[in-house]
Amino acid sequence: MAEVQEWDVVVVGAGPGGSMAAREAAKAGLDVLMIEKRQEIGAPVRCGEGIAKVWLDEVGIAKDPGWISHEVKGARIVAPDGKFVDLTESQAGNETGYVVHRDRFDRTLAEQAVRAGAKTLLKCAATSVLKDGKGAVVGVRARHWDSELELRAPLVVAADGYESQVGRWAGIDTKLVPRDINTCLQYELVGIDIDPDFNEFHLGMQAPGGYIWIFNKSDDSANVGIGVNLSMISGRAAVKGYLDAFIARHPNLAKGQNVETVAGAVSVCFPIESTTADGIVLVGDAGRMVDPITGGGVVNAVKSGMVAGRVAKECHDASDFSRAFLQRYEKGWRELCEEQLIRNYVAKEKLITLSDDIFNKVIDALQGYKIERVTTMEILRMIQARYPEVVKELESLL
Amino acid sequence: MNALTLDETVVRVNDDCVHCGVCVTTCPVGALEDVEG
Repeated sequence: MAEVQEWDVVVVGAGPGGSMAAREAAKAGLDVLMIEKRQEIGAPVRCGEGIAKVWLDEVGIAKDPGWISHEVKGARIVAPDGKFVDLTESQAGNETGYVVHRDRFDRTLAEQAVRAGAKTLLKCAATSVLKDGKGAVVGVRARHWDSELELRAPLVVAADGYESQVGRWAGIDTKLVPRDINTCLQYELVGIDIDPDFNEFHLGMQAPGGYIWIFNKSDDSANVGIGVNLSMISGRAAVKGYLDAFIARHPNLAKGQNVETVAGAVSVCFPIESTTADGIVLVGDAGRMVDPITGGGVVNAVKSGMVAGRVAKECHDASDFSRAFLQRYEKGWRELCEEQLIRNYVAKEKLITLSDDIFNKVIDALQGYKIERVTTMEILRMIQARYPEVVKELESLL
Repeated sequence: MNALTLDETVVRVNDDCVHCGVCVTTCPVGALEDVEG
């Protein structure tokens, strides 16, 4: 017999999106339960661990040496032939600024949720959604250790990450095709030679449809990882093969030792049509809010989670948890994140078609320029002056 | 492409599995032996 509990909001998943939703809803006075299937929040890490600095203040996350592993000045974009351009932190997008300890970062956000009044249950996995007679979600069933729980709530926040099942159980279409998935593998290498001021992004067919990253965790260690588009993989263990081959080609990396292997996948899709149904919202990776170019999801998870928590309070006050009312959530997160997701999806679709030769020419054409001082049009003019045929290839990115 | 999670399908893996929990048909480390469902 399942134990029945009543809550205002049940949050499934204690990653950044879940914790922010729980924090905001609890701060607004709601009774919030956040469940996490694992025994420890934040572990195992499945992330390159690069994040920008600028948005942290906006969302109320204080910079804390406890979760900051390393600070970088910018991003180095490296062509297949080894030439590169450096971008400042502000130009480099949402993954450059800090390299963090994601487990500690996630734990910090969960602590914020708890201090705001949210309750947590670890080793508690959602097993299905509860629905009322009209099909609205009214909670989740969950297994907590060896107990069955019925966690009833008029609003469920599904923050259960890339593998999200809660949304699918609720009838929300989150299906992905292989072209919309990048499969990833990463080693944390220690004892390597790197430029500690720059995270590196290596482009081209050495990582088909994705890129190889070197995100510095200290002056002599880094997360060295790869994301490859699933539609462009053939052969067993191909992703590991690409990463191992890259490391073998770089003696400065090959001299290091691996202290942690991380694997996983990210969505790189067009924003999905709906992230809501009656009684439920999807946040972060569960709602397919990952940046299609970088594969980064933390920022959008945090922002959408905050919107979800705030809308939960509005639902509670209006006693309305319908999909129609939850359009406030849909509108809120899309205003913050959708334009960039669409733009980067379109760019990603183009980028995965470019040859190594094109990447080499683009980076070559930018040699010697201070990128921060020029506009996109000026960059294109520089490329055009040297390689007019390449600009034609890039037209659709404009 | 129906094997996105360990929870929904039965998968058989070999000793190379790193237990990332995401069983895509082309496993990054080549540990996926078989998928049912």
